[in-house]
Amino acid sequence: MQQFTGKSLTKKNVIGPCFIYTMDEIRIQDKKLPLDELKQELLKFQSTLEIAETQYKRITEDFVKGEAPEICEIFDALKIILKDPQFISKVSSEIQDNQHTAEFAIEIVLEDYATRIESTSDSYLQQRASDIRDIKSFLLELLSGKFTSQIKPNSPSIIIAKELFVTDLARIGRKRILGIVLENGAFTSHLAIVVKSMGIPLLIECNEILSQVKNGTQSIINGEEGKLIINPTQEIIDHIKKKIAINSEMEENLKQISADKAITTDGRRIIVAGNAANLKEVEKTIENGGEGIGLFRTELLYTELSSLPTKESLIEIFQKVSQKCLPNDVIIRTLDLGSDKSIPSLFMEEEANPALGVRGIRLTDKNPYLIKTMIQALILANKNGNLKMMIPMISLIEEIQAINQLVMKTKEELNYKDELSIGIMIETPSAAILSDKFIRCVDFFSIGTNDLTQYVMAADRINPNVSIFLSHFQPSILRLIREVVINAHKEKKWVGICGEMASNFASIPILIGLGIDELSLNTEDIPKVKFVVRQSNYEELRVWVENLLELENSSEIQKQAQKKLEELIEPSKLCFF
Amino acid sequence: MKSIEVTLINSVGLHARPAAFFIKTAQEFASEITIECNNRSADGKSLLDILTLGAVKGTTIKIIANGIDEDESINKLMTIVKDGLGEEG
Repeated sequence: MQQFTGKSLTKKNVIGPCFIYTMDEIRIQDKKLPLDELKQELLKFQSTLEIAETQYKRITEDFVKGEAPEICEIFDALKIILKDPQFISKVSSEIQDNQHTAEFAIEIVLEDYATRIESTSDSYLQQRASDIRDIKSFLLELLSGKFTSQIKPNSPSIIIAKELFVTDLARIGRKRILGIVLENGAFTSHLAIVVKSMGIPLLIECNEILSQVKNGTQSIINGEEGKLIINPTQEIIDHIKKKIAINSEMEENLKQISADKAITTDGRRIIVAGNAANLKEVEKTIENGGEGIGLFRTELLYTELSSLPTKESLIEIFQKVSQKCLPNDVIIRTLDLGSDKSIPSLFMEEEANPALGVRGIRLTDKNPYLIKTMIQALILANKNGNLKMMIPMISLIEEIQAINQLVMKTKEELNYKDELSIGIMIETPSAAILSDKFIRCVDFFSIGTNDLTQYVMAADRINPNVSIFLSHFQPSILRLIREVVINAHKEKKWVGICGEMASNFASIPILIGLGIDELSLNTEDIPKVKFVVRQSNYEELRVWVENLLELENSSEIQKQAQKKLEELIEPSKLCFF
Repeated sequence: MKSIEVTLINSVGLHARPAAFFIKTAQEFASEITIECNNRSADGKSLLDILTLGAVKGTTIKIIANGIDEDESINKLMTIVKDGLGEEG
């Protein structure tokens, strides 16, 4: 048995035979061509480009079938290089003016581009050099006549190589790749992006592996430890096999759950939605089984532009999000900016304490056209009736009354007859304490636990010296949440959580017990949170939480909450939470 | 000849996908398109050329168009850069 250490892209494990993937090195000779052969050589170059395009299409078409659009785009971008006007004209002039062979001309032109791109200061861009070398070796192989469209192991294998390009993946074929181990490699490469999206384990920076492994040798990629194990003992094989079985069972389980509703064992349904700031995140949320968007942040629509977005551009994005989430709801939060996160198109005074300054509703109150445009856009975009509006940083009853009036007026102006559901964020202590009053002005609450904790505990979120005050398990915060939920339920209205607390698995039993109706969280955790909900019994947790809130300190509450989570989940699956 | 300066606001700058979007648009026009930034210049219709500029987010680039549809092309290219080069949201 032998072990090699590298860096693993995922925690996935895999067992299988090794397959060494090497390419015959193509020697390119720099011989000056006689003048009368240049025309012939140019034709050769042109016909190679044509063949390359057909071959490339043939190889990659099957491979990318059914894959995500961003994966298809990676392969499309490589195809663009084959038609690049500068590439074609530079190679042609190397042949014509310098009498180089087509092979040599391609080599120097593409290598020059790759080197120049590598020398840019951007690490992401540097990785694009490998795309160019990918196409280069593809073309050179075609020209050398050694091209075989598929180099493949006979059975599914762990592919071992010095470096691998995305084109190589397509040539090997998805079904024959169990995992990949590279001597070089980088996580920012297109290869890593493709491999991750396809769920293939990848180990990079495994030094000098090629000289020590033989084709067909049984081996294991241990993703958790970032290791390649050659000729493992039976004991290790059994151990890894067991892990793989649990993993695939859990993955299957979570996939199933993500499509199901989150209902407790005694029948209480909890909406599990996602937080998003752009269309891509909305799509990911839906893919992961999110029941709509519980918090759509609008700040990015403003901060990434040098001027304010127009009403039309807001309508367009709101409509797209609304359409994608049907039949579920989308909660659009109005602009939540402050002097710490200002935008160039809006003048903001510098403040000593931005967290306690003009932010959220306070900013839009000072710049009424901002909120007016957003309300207009929301109303005009709400053709499906699934958009809701949420106002951040409310602390005065007058603030929400003014908003309600503005919405009513705008509805009249636009001759809009339907309801527009309005809610507020509960993030200031004032809003939480006065929640019995606030709930009569709105349709729902969403608790922003991060800010609420910061303000209740008087502890700055960005000051590491006070981070101990910011625990999700502070009894004062939990009691306040209980009050908010009770006040909302009295008026038959619902309460959601959109802060980080909804992504903390140990918090979920507490939130269920407190009677929270909706959880909105980072999209990748949605299936797991649904899993926890489905293991829980609401009545039991309700009683449990009442006792929990009698505890005095956060560390004790956290300990109890963790214990409860461990009771709810089978021990073998606990490692996922 | 027409030229205009514009700042890249999309999240990754002139990288593979946004750059591909740019050249695709540039290739729709007959005019010669050049991009200048970081003291380098690139053929606006060549993906390879554009990648060598190393134009990251926040870089101000100069787009130069020369030809029969220079006005139209420069307006269109300026708009797509300002709109974030096909990146949504």
